[in-house]
Amino acid sequence: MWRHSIVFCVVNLLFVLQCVSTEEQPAWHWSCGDGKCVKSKHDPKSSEPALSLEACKMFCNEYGMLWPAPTGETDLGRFLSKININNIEIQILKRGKSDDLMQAAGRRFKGLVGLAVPLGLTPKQTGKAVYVYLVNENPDVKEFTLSDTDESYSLRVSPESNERINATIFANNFFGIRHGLETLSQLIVFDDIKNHLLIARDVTIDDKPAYPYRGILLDTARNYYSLESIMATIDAMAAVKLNTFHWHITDSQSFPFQSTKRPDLTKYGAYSPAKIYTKDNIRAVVDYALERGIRVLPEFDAPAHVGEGWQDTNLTVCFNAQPWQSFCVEPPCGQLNPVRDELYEYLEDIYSDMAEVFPTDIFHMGGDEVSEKCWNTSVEIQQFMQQNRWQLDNEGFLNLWNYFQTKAQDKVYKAFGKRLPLIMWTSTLTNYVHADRYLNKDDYVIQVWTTGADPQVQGLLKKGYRLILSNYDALYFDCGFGAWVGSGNNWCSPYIGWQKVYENSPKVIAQEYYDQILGGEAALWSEQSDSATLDGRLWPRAAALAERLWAELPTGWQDAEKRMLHARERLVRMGIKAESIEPEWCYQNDGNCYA
Amino acid sequence: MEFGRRWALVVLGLSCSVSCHDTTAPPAPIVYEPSWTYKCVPDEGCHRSAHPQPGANSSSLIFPSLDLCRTVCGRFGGLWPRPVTAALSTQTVRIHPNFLRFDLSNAPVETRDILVEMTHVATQNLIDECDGNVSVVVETPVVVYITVKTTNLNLTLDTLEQYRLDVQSKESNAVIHIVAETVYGARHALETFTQLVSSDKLDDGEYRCGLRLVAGAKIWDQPVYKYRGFLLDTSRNFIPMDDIKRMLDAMATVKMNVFHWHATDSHSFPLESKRVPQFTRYGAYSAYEIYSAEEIRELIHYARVRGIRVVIEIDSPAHAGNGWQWGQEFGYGDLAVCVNARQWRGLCIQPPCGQLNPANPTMYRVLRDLYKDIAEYLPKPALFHMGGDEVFLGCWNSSEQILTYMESRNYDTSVDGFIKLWSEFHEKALNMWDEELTALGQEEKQPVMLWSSELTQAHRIQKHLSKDRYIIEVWEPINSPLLVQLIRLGYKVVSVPKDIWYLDHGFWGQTKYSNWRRMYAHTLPRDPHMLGGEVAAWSEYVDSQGLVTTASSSTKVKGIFED
Repeated sequence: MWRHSIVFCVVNLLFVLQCVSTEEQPAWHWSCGDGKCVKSKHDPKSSEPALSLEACKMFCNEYGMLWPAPTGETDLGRFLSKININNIEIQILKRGKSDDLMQAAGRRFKGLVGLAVPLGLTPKQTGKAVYVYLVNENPDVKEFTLSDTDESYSLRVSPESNERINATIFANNFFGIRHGLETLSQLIVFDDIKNHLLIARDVTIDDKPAYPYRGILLDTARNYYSLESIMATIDAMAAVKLNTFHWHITDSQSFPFQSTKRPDLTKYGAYSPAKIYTKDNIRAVVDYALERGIRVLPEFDAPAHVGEGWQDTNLTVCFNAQPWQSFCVEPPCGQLNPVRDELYEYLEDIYSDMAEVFPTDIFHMGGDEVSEKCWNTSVEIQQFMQQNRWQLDNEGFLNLWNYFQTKAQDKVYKAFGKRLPLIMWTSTLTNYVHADRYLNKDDYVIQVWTTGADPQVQGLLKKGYRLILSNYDALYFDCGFGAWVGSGNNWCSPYIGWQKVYENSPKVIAQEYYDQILGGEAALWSEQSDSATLDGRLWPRAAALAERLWAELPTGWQDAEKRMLHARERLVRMGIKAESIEPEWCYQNDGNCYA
Repeated sequence: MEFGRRWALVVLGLSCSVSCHDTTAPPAPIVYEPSWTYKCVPDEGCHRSAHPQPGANSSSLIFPSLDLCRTVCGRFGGLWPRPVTAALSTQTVRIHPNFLRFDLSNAPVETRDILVEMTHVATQNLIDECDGNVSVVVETPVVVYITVKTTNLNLTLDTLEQYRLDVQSKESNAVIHIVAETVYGARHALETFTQLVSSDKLDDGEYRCGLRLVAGAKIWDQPVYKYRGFLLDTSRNFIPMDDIKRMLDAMATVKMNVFHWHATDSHSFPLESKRVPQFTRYGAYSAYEIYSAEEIRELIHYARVRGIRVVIEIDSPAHAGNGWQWGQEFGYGDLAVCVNARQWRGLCIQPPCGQLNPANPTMYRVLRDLYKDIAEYLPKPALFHMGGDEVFLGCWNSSEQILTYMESRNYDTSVDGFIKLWSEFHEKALNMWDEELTALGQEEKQPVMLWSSELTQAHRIQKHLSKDRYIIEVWEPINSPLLVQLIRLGYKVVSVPKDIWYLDHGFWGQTKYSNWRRMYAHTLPRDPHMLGGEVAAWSEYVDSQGLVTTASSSTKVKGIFED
């Protein structure tokens, strides 16, 4: 009744000899009943077909193990076919400028298929061949355009003959094709009972995202992140069809962005010579991301959140001022001095350096947490305001800020050579009561970081602004740890569980203004995170966000939980150190872990 | 056991299409001259210079790197945990591991094997300061003279861990004297020695890394508490052996000395028992998620070399389910009851349920076989943890067989009756454990650990549990009087207040994240019965992926070494 004892010895690529004794294991098998996979002991003598856990999960749920859930017709069929991992062909039917991207996506796909098999096991080399046809209607398209990029695709899998399965992906451009391949890779599972790779055989999926902007923000200024960890993040984002890597690359604490036009900013501002993102580094990230259907959105936060790097320029005020509580939200303080004309030359140079390495369709100008008190410490600024007949009050400072913003906006357009959409954080300047006096709704997209229930959200929507939601009560992934200044826990505690991330529906928040929501973004502010903690902070919670933004299902986390557990396992197989969200027992015993 | 790593290796194997970017290694950053200097300001710390100062020479209080400044600045430099007394020079000398020698002639012959292993760990730690390659070579001879006074290699609650460490150096050589009662004290001294060494990374066109040793130091150190523990739960989620070893490495760097291995629970049973192979056959999550007997022995040795005693916990009579569910199939009756009960409320604290069946004599036979295996695994004298927490009377109350048994023993079905049944379980378990240790030649009876519970309440404990035999691990929150009550009653205790030292708090329900300052600030009563404390990594929300992040906060628990 036991599987015979087998010892697998595998000399893997690292020349490490690994021996795994399977001992005498009862082969567990799973059967689907009432939407749940039920674990029971497998009797090899029985003639009943036995399913591995993953094979069972494939058909035990409307969406199988797909993450995010498709939004159009989804029919996974009822049968799994054995396939040969060494016999997967990818055919690109229409050629064009995006060929290199298509080929890269094909290579990634094959890698993902390989990940289904635990190392040390070699699946049987029998089974059908898989022919993957990629039908790209616009093979020359390889750029994003905000709210215009068509990411839809259709996927059809069907048996062609006894020896062959066809999988065809139709899309209007590379981005859709890529998403289709990602979905196809989730339809292939390893069966450890039969020691075989299996594919869902009769599949129809039509799919497209609910929101065009689905992002993760990484702050690489409070703490530095290695390039490897950034690349790994992009890999994981691609697996769940997120499409924007928002790079908050500078802040008061450090300036790791390589500015070749103003090299002292980097030299003085980087934590160390090794903690610099060179232009070559950034190009590598941008290319890597594009192959994975992800845009890299640069942010140059200004006029606040600057400091390190600017020491010798005389262009900042209240840098590292004490007591910091009087001048900014966290140490070290620092704001640009908007009255100096030379500042705008610096800005143009920084923006040009960014335009050189970030071929982006949108740009983030920051604009959060500007402090009147900081600017007010400068006699020069006070005099400038008086000359302009601005009071030293709220409105006067908004005028000053607007003066800065208008000039900076022109410099961005000049540097990028186009009037690209600009993003700004919610702030006193974006207050809906007066935002339209300063910021044209056709020029600016507002990224909301206050709570989802903040009346600012409705107010801005009513005035016609397009929004990206990063409401901190659901999407700030740095919350819940110890405070780093003072005692107690950090300001936005407690920790936000994946369930809350999943339930944070832009549709519910925006109601009738739903179509003004471009999407959402999880933010990892890095005062208390770096490469060592990155994976666990982001994953699997960012996967919960990914499904919310892709599918915007009317259902809650309970309906997604089983697939979510699998999505997390899949990230771990990719090498992502995602947090565990439940005991493995719950993964193996569907529906038994309830409150 | 290799599951996690196996997946990871797949990634490596296939990496270039999935997981690493196609342009291979990231381009090297542009090289700037090292430019900042750091000044040691007594009582404040290391301050960075206002401007880059390329080529600045280090003077007595100005250093070319932050690492170096932190290593020498302040009364205790970069030492963690803080020793009892220390005097450190602010000067440093370059050293290289190739010219580092350990002299064991003042250590008894019996101690030398393990000392050699300990010195290897220390040397490797130094090399790791330079990421594996100390490229700045100096030939200054460095000799560490290790004096150990006793031949005793046992790790117990009475092991003397104090040490003296003395560093002297001249231009031409450096001499380090370590004096300790035991090899474990000497190990702590080696750990402290490695913390007196800083990497010195030069980046002047070509990256190089060298090591600098504090030129002079006098340190005397001993721990306040005997038991400085780290609990890891490997049942809710499986933790690969390599990751456990990394935890032991981290414990060793902060001189924690007990690895409390919560090896099994109702969720899974990953611990191999040679005598009862069914435990893992039925209880492990998969064939890859098992700790083999060989791996367990290796881990115990690995821990000993790092001054760490392994305490295995087999939680019982509650928190036992998967792994015990095969009794009927083998004609043994139910070994455990309410295993994986669907309606779990009232039967256990969280799914899956499961409690040992004290009415079934065969359960005790099987448990004894498991004890035999554990007694053989554990280093002598053995410290074993029998669990004993969160027994749900409702679970036992749901079994006809148990109710019938209670009737035969004249236990009524009130709380008191069930408490008697529970107490009887512990009595029988302890007797079996004693007998198995005796059978292995252990002359003296050894203490056994138990979690605090209904049974250990102050008004009840003396009737059921002898203070001479049990160490109670109190996990009640800090506002509970139990810890002090038990000390007054004469019980030896280990403290792990759940609202302070549980590492999973803050990620579920209404629990609050306990930050490092809170963990650090918490102090324990000073009493001979207060053995020490422990941080607990329960693994509902942690597996090997999350382990490092979670556990890193535990290394901050310094209070129990020096208080």
